[in-house]
Amino acid sequence: MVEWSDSERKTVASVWGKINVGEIGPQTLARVLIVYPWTQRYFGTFGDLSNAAAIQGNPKVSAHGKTVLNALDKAVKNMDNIKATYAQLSQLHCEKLNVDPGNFKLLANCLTIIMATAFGPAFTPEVQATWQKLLSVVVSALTSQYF
Amino acid sequence: MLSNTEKELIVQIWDKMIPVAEDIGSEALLRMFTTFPKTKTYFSHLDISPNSDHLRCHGKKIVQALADGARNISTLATTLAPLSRFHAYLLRIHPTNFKLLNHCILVTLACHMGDNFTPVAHAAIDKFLSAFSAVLAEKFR
Repeated sequence: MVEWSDSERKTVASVWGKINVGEIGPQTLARVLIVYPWTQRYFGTFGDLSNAAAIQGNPKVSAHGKTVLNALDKAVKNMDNIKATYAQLSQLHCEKLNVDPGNFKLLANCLTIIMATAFGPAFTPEVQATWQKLLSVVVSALTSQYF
Repeated sequence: MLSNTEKELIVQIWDKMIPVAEDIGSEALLRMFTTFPKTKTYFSHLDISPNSDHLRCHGKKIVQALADGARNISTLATTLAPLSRFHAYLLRIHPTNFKLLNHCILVTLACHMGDNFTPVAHAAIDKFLSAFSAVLAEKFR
């Protein structure tokens, strides 16, 4: 069971409240595809991913980025039950999408870095630590149904 | 593999960090200690509280070494040979920790550079930090 202090809960709610999923979602997925190009293997039907500009302008990447980040809302609203909350998504990623779970951490890291660019000094070491704790629980939950 | 454009970008970015080496270095370390507390086990001999002299001094050394590496990317193994021996035979840091510091360096750069920390800059620096850490870990066994 993951323990969350009151201060951590407040931080998560406050940070999530400031995130514009419509902007951050697309940026996050684009950054993953640019910084870790092997992740493009999962997006063969997305069209032009040949360079950074193409990826950033790709409407399918944008749309999917929003889908992925919207799914994080589940974690924020169910902090005490993240593993069960993501059980189905975990099965989906394993059995249908066949995604190597090593890539989940890459997405988590890119999201953290984008939040740092957006929040600047307000993204203090303490805020970073709390946010990364949440993301590591999500990553773990998404990996939990893999066999 | 770093393209020539990426190598230039890396030098540009690290040159800007040299005047603020203490700030950037100490912040990256503090982020690492806060998010990954196990990394503090290597620093029991120093005062690593926020803004301490030790933290700022150590942070500065790290940023200066990175800037040095940035200016000598094609000869990283030779340039970093003394640091490589130091990390292998004296410090003996568990190799997984390099990634943790690298990530916190990226977060620090992102906080300071904002939108200028573009995906292309991020990719270039990430690749550089991986190459740098690989050289530091080269002599581990």
